Amino acid sequence: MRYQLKFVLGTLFAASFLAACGGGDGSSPPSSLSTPATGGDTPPPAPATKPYTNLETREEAARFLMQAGFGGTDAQIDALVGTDAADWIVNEMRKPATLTLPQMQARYGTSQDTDQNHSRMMWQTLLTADDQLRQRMTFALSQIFVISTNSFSDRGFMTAHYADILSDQAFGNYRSILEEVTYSPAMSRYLTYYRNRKGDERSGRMPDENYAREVLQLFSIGLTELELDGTPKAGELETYDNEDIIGLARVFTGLSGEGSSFKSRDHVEDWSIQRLKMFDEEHSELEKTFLGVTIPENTKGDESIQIALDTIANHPNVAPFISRQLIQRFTASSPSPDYVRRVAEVFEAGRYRAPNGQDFGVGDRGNLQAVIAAILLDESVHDDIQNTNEGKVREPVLKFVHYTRAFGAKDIDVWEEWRLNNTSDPNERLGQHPLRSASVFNFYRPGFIAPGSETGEAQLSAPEFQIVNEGASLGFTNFLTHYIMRPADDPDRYPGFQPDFTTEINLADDAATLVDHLNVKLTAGQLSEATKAEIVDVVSTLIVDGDDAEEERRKRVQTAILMIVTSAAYAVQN
Amino acid sequence: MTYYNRRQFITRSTLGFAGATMGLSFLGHGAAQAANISGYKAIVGIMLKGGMDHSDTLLPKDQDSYDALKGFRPGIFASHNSDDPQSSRHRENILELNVENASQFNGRRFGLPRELSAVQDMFNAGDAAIVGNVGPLLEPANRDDFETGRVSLPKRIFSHNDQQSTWMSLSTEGARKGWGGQFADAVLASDATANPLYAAITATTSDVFLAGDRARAFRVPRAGQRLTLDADRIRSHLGRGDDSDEARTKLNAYLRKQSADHTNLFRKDASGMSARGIDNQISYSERAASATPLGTIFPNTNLGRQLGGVAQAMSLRGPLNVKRQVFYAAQGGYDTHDSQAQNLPERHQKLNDAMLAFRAAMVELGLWNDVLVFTMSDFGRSMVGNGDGSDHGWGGHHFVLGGSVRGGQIYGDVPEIDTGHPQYTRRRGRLIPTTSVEQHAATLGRWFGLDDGELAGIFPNLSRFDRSALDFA
Repeated sequence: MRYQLKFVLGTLFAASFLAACGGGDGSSPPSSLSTPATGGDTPPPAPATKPYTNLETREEAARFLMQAGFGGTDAQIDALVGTDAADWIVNEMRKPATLTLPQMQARYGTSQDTDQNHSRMMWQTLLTADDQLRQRMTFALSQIFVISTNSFSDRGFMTAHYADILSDQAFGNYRSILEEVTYSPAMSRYLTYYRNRKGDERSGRMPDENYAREVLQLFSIGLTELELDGTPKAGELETYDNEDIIGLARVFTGLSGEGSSFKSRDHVEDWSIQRLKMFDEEHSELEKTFLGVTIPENTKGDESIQIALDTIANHPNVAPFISRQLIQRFTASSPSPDYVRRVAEVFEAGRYRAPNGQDFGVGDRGNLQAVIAAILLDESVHDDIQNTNEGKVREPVLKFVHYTRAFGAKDIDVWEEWRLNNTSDPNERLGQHPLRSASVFNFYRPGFIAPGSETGEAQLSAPEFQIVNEGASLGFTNFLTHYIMRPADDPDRYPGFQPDFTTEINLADDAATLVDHLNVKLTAGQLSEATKAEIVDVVSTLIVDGDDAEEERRKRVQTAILMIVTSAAYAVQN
Repeated sequence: MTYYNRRQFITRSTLGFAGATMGLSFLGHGAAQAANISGYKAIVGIMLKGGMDHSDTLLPKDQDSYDALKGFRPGIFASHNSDDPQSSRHRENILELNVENASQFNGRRFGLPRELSAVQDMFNAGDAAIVGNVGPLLEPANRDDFETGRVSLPKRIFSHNDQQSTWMSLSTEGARKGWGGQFADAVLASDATANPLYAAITATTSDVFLAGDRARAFRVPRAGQRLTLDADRIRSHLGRGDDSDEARTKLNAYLRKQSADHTNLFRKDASGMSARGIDNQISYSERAASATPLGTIFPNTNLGRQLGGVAQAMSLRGPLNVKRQVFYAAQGGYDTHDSQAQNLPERHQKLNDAMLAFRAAMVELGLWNDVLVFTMSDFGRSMVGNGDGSDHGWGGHHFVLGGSVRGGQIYGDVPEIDTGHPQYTRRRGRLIPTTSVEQHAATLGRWFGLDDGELAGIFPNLSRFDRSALDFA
C-alpha cells in the first residue's frame, strides 16, 4: 500500500497543532485548565449532591494522595478534606516542573557528569519536590519509555535530560513524547540506533532493528491486536511481523549527535543533552513498508520518522495499550476491562470532563492531562474498598518515598545517603531503582501473574509481584528499618533525613490512639483489625516512664511505623 | 587443568549407574508418581538474557566456514580486529573443539573464542557438550514452512520477553508454570519427605522457570551473605530493657507470620509473600551460617556470586533434606545490537569464569557427576550483521556441562553458514531451530529422573520430534 497524501496532511496538521499546545517548557499552566467547563463569568450552579470525587474524610484524602501522588503529610491530608479530587489535579498540573538537569548543572557545573550525581538529584526530587503528580507521572512514564542507567557509564546529564523530557511532557501529549523520546540521545544510546547506518548491499549490512522492534512492542502498540478495553481481539492477531520490523528499521537510520558529521568526533560538547540530528547521507533511501504504510524511496530521514511516528501513534492499539499501563502505575494492578475502556476512550477523545464539571484536555488524541484525570477520577477508584479484586501493589520506590514524605523528613540531603546510590539489590535495598531496570522490559511486565498466588488463581495481573515477593521482603524490611529507626540525637552519623515524629510522639502514650492516627496517615485507615491489634500490643509492650520517656515514646512511634509499612495494607493501596 | 583422566572414569561409571537406576524406577513404581529420586541430582539453568549471539560463540575453525561467516558480518569481524594476529576472532586463535562426532559435519571444524577457554577444556575433556540450533518449536520447520505458515509455529518469535518465557515455560509471557518447576513438582510427588521449600532455587529473580504447582522459587543469597532481621538484631532499635526484649520477640513473630484476615486478594498475597520471605530467608541464612564454607572462591561478578550461592545451597542438601533440586541463575547483557566486540567477550569471560569456579566447587563437594549445568537464552541472533552488532534471531547453540554429560560432542545440528540453507530466514539469516526446546529439556528431565509419562505431560509436542537424536546425558 502506498502512503496516502491525505493521511500525511492530516497527521502533519495534528503534529503542528500539538507542538503549539502540548509540551512547552513545562512551567506554564496547561491551557486546557484555564477555562472552566461551564465558561463565562457566572459560576456553575452547585450540584445538589457533591460528586463522588469529593474527598469527604481524612481516610479518603489519604487514599487519594497515595493513588495520585506519594501520599501526604497530616497537613496535606487535612487540606484535602472537603475538596474535590479534580481540583487537586488541576492545581498539581499548574505547578512548575522540577527538572533534574538544571539542578545538576547548578550543583556540579557542566563537568560532573556521573551517574551517581544524577541518581542523587533524582532522589532529592522524588523525596522533596512539590510537584508530586508530575513526578509520579514521570516515574510512570519512565516505566513505559524505559531506559536504564545500567547500560550507561556515567552519562548523568544524558539521563537527566531524558528524565526531564518525561517530566516536561508529563501533562503533554503521547505523540509528542514518542517523538521527543525517539530523538533523545539517551534512548538512541540505550536502544542502539545512535549512529545506526543505512544498509549496505555490498557488504550485506542491514540496519539495526532494535528500536524498530521495541518502539512497537513496548512504547506504543504491543504484540497483539487489542480491543479498546485492552483485551486481545479474538484469534490473537499479531500486530506486526518480521517484515514490518525490517521496513521500520530503515526509518531509524541516520541519527547521530548534534555536530557537523555523522560519524566524526566533532560533535558539539553537549550533544548528549540535545535533540539528535538527522544525517541524510546515512539514512536509508529504500522504500520502507510497515504496518500497512509504505514510505516511498528517497524520503528524507526526518520526514520518514514523522510518518513512522504518526503511523505508530495512530494505531488503534495505542489507547488501550498505554492507558492500561498508566492505570497500573497509579491505581490498579489488574484494571478491569471496563476501566481500561473508559480511560482509552478518553485517550482517543483527548478530553475528559470530571464529575465536578472540570474539563481536562483540549481534544487532541493522546492528551495526557485528560488521561491522568480519567484514571484518577474513575468511579472504580473512589468507590468502596471491599472489592477483593481491586487495588494496586505498590512499587518499593513508592513505599519508601511515601514514608519519607509522610513524616516531612527535614534536611534531606541525599548526598549523605550512600544507600540511595543504588537501591536495586533486593537482599539489602528496595529491589528497584528508578531508571535502572534490568532491561527495556522494565522492572516487571504488565501482564505478569504471580505463580502460586491467589491473585494468580483469579487470573489477576500483578506486575509488581515480580519484584515485591519472597525474595525481596527481608531486604525491603531492613531498608525501611534503617530509615525509620534513626536515633534522634546522632547528628554526626545522620546529619539529614530526620523524619519529624512530633505529632506521633505526642500521641504515643496511648498506643491505640497512636496506631489509629498512623493507620489513616499511612494506609488510609485500611489496616485489618487483627493487624491493628497486634501493632497496639507490640507498641504497648514498650514501657514509657522515667527519664527516658521521650526516647521511649519515639521507639513506640518507630515500631508502630515499621509494623505498618511492612503490612499488607501499606503494600497494597486500595 | 587435567580433566581428561577423570572424565574417562566418570563417563563410564556414572552412565552405568544411571542406566541401572532408571531401569529400577520403571520396575518399582506405577505410572503416576514415578520420578526416580535415588541419590542426589541437580540441574542448574543459566539464562543468558538478551539473546546470545550463537554465531559469535560457536565459531567456525575451518577456513571456508570462517570466510563465509566473515562475509555475512564483516562489521562484527572488523570490530573484533579479526585480522590482528592477537584477536580472539583471528582464525588461528579460535580454540578448537575436538568434536567426537566431527564426521557428521562434512569436514567443518568448530571452536570457541578464547574467553570461553574453560568451556573448551571441559568439552575436550568430555565434560561438556553443545546442543546446536535449539529453540522453541511446535513441530519441525524450515524456511518454506516459516514463510508459508503451513506448520504451526511458536507465538511471538523474536520478542525478548516472550521467547525467554517460551524457553522456560513453553508459552509466551504470562505463563504460570515453567518446566523447571514442573520437574520439581514431579520429584516432590515421588518423595513425601522432601522439603518443598528448597526444591526450586533461584539465585536471581523469580522468573517463570521455577514456578510449578507446588514448587516455587526460593531465592538464596550469595554465598556467605548473612541475612538478618535488622529490627531484631540491632538492639538499639527497640531498646535494651526487658520490655524491649519482649517487643522484639513479638515484632519478629509479627513479621514472619502471614496475617489471616484480608479479603483483598492482592493483600492476601502480599502478606503471605512478605512473611514467607522473611521467615524462610532467616531460617536459611541461619543454617548456612552454621555450615562449613566452601573452599572454592567464586569470581566477584553478578553471575559468580549467584553460582556461589547455588553451590552453597547444594552444600546444605543434607540439612535441607533434598534429593533433587532445580536451580536458576541468569546473566544479562547479551542483547548485542551494537558494540558486540566490546560486550560479548566480556560476558563470555564472566560466564566462563563463573562456570569454571562452579565446576571446582562441585568437585570439592563431590557432586560434579550429579549436576547438569545448561544454558538458555531468549534466542540466537541474526547471522547477517547490522554494522557492529547483530539482531534478534530464533535458534541458537547451547552448552551442557557436568561430569555425567556425554561430552565432546555436538548434538542436534549446526547448519552450515549459508543464508541459502533452508534453516535460515531470508536476508538476515536467522536460524530456524532444528532441535526443539522440548526435546532438549526432556533430555535434562530424563536425566533428572522423570519418566516418559511425566515428560509427556510437561512437553506436549515431544512426540513430534525424534527422541533418540539427543542423548547428551
